[in-house]
Amino acid sequence: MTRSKLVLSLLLATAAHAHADVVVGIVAPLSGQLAAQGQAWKEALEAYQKSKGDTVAGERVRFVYKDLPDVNPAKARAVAQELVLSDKVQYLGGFVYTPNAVAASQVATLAEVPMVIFNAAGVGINDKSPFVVRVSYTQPQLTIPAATFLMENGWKRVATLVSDYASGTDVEKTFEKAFTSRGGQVVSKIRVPLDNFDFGPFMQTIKAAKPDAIVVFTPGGAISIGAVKAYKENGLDAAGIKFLGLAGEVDEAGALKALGKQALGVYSSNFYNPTSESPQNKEFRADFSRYAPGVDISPIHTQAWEGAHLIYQMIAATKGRKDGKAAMKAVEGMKWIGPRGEMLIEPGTRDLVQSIHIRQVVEVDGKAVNKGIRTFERQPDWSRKE
Amino acid sequence: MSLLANILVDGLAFSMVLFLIAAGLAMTLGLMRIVNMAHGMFAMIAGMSTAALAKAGAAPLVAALLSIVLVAILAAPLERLLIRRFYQRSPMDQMLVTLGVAFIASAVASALSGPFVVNVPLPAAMTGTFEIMGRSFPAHRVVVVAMGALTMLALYVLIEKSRFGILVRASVERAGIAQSIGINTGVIYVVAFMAGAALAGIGGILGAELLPIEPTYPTRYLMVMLAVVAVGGHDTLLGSFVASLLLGTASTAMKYIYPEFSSLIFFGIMFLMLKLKPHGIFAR
Repeated sequence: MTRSKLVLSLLLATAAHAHADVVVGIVAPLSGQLAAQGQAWKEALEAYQKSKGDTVAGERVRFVYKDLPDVNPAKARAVAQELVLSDKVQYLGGFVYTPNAVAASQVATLAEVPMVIFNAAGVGINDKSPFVVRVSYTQPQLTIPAATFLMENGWKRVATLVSDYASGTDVEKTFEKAFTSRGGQVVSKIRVPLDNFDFGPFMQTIKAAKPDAIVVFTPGGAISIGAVKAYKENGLDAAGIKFLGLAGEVDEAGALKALGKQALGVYSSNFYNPTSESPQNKEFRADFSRYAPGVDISPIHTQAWEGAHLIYQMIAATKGRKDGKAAMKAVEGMKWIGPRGEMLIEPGTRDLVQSIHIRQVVEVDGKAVNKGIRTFERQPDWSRKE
Repeated sequence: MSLLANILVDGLAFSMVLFLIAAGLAMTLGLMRIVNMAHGMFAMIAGMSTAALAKAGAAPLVAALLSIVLVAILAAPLERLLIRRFYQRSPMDQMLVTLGVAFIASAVASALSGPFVVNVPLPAAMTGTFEIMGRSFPAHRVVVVAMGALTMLALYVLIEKSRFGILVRASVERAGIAQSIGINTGVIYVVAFMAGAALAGIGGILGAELLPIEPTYPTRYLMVMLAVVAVGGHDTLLGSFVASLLLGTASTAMKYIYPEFSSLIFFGIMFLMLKLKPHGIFAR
């Protein structure tokens, strides 16, 4: 389909459906390796609607889902198009992987449909389209505060261990630059192939280098679990070497559930602090427990929760009419306090300025919990600053 | 501890995990000439069942033994109703149908228990670490090494020395003649298939600390299992044992020396061996 034809059909499509529900299309992994993430978003969106109601400005809001389990830009573009054309969505949301988000952003631009990225953390996605806004994070946003935190504690000799793919090697470079510029020293750098499942040898190598701490980036699930287990089993913990995870190492919805008390003591840098005593977080957790009982609340849930918040604001500002430009204008520069803390959609970049929390796994009532121990407020997307 | 000693110790431990998860596959392939891509499914089911039983209050060892029996029992109808129809078909057909079974198993597991890693409990004696020559070592790895060697020995006796082994080989090599002299080949096949599943269960449970049990397990580690069998050759279990040692030690050495290349060396060896010895290490 050519561009002009696409635009034309979009215009016809929207004209014909002026008075239907406001439909929001969520592109998420509902099957495959990351199905847990898609599932968590769904739980959060359902809980949000039960908590805040499903009508905004007199219009009923309805979420529809499309499964996109892996990195597949062509398919991402296709499902975004299908959502816009067939499901008549006024908003797009979701997106785990950066390449998928970038591909779908073309559709957002052409159809002038605001697109709220829940997760994809690659640098510069928002530059691809003026209709893209992000409620997730960028990896440097988590990495830079981690470097500061290590230096604050006098842990100046650090080893890095990252999964060997683009995001991992980016983290390795970002961290080294930030850490050495603060006076720290990276004594060992290891890149682990993605199909590896025995971390023992890497941990032995690191142990021999006698660092103060080890900084880890792994993509979550079985791989992250393996890294934490090997850290403990090879006695790095006992030797006083700290473990700081920058990704899924002790994620509440995945690895931490399986690791339980084996993860005690592990530090992580994240945009959500489950133990925050702020009224907003308490209310969020109370709401969540009421409407999605039995679910272990994770940072992933807050992504969709805040995404829904943003979409509701946009619908309110445009009174349910399809007006992508006005909707985007309404949230640019928007400031609010959510479960994660103070949030700002930075004017110009439409990236999130937010609090970053260093957490440590502790035992609370017999359960392993990520407890916030240090908060860095108003952290920008550091990739644009450092 | 010196680098060499580290490589040998970790390499041995890793090799035995490889062997344990691939032994059942090597056995069914070698004995029954069936390429069972769903092998990992039995490991996954055994792991998940162990976790569930332990959660319900069973002792880890009891839960593990019950689960191994369970997968052996589950294997029987699978062989009777489906697999046996493929003995005479091409390896490609066998691979496709068993891969299909593996995908279905993954989907069912995901629907039942969610896309998460389940915790396969360890008996108290297998938890914790202890010191060997100045370095700490996970206790379960020692058990894995012992079990790997024990499995090799037991299988060798079973297949090469026992009457059962002779019956299975006779049934596969010359089915018609075996039947005509009164061997019930149908029973032989199903028992051999059940034994393969039980072995998968043992490997899944014992290897769970390193290869966590989750719904994508059957396909996630399929490549690794196939590498062991491909390098080892489908005729001898000893081949798979040596292949495990070779692949495990080489990739572990690389992890110490040049981490980024540890996968490359694993599959590089597989490639080289298939080129030089396409029928396995001990093929003549």
